[in-house]
Amino acid sequence: MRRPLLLLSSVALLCAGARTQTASPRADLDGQRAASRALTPQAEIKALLTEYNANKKNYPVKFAEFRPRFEAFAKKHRGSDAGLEAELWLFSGCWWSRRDGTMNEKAAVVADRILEHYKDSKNLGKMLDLAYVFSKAQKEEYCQRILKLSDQPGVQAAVHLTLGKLYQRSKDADKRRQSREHFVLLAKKYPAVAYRQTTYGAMAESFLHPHSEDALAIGKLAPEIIGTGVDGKAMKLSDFRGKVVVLDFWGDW
Amino acid sequence: MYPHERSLVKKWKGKPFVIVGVNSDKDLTILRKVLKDKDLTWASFFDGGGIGGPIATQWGVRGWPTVYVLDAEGRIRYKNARGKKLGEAVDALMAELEQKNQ
Repeated sequence: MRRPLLLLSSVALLCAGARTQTASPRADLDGQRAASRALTPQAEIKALLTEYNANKKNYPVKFAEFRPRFEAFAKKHRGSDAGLEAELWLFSGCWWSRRDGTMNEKAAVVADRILEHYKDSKNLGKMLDLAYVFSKAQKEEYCQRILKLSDQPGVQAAVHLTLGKLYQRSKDADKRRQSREHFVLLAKKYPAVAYRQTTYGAMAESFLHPHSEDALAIGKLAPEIIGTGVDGKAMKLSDFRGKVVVLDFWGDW
Repeated sequence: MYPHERSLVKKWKGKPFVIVGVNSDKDLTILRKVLKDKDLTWASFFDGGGIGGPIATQWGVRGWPTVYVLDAEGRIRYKNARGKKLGEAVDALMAELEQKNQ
């Protein structure tokens, strides 16, 4: 049961396409090989990620267990979108070595490999979304390198968001000013570029116009929230006026 | 936190009370399945697909969960009341509202 998802799809393909085959072990094996060949790399990496995310327990142990498979996949599909997905997983997994002090070092190894093989990818910016495995100095270093390597709008935007966030709360007023410039540039040049399930424009605006502590003080009218519900429908906070509201920033993790 | 939220929803069913979530999960498809499986019925904004989305950023949220309790006029009345204190905060505001409506 090491690869249940892959096996399931293999069985499905066998049933659909090879009914006349005799059920000898040899035929089964051939069928399975054919089925795994039939899976596109994108579907294969998606299945691998789903399998990894299937239960929420013991991520460090799970990471070590899955790592060889992701590494093999990344090597086999180097240069493709699916290969980058595998590298990004390996990159984010460096987080599990933060306690032994090797996180930044390991992150640099994967990051260098990503820059070497994926500098032209429009998805290169996704690496910066996982940059919590970097030290501050590394974030800055890799942002500057990526800025020179890629002129893709999505990648440039990711760099500006990362650099903006980096010194947003710095004690140095000059750094805070620089941070702001990145957000201004982001809002001006890349407002409609997609970031996760929102846009860089929306991200930049939220950094440029945060609610002040005073605006969020007890007794103040809660600032309006206009957005989309998890059901996909438009909603706003003031829709609930007339009711006592528990406003709950939450996530299922 | 779900059991507590559920008990609030149950306690104030049919009364002018709601939980409004701002959700920071990554994947909307997975989230919708969780909502269904765990029977989480309250409305939530989807905050851009991750921690540090636009709403959380604008509100300066840096820890999850973060909870505000608003009165019926939309005023912020409690911040980060948890567990028993959250229940008491809602009780107080519901009593206040009832008195006002009399």
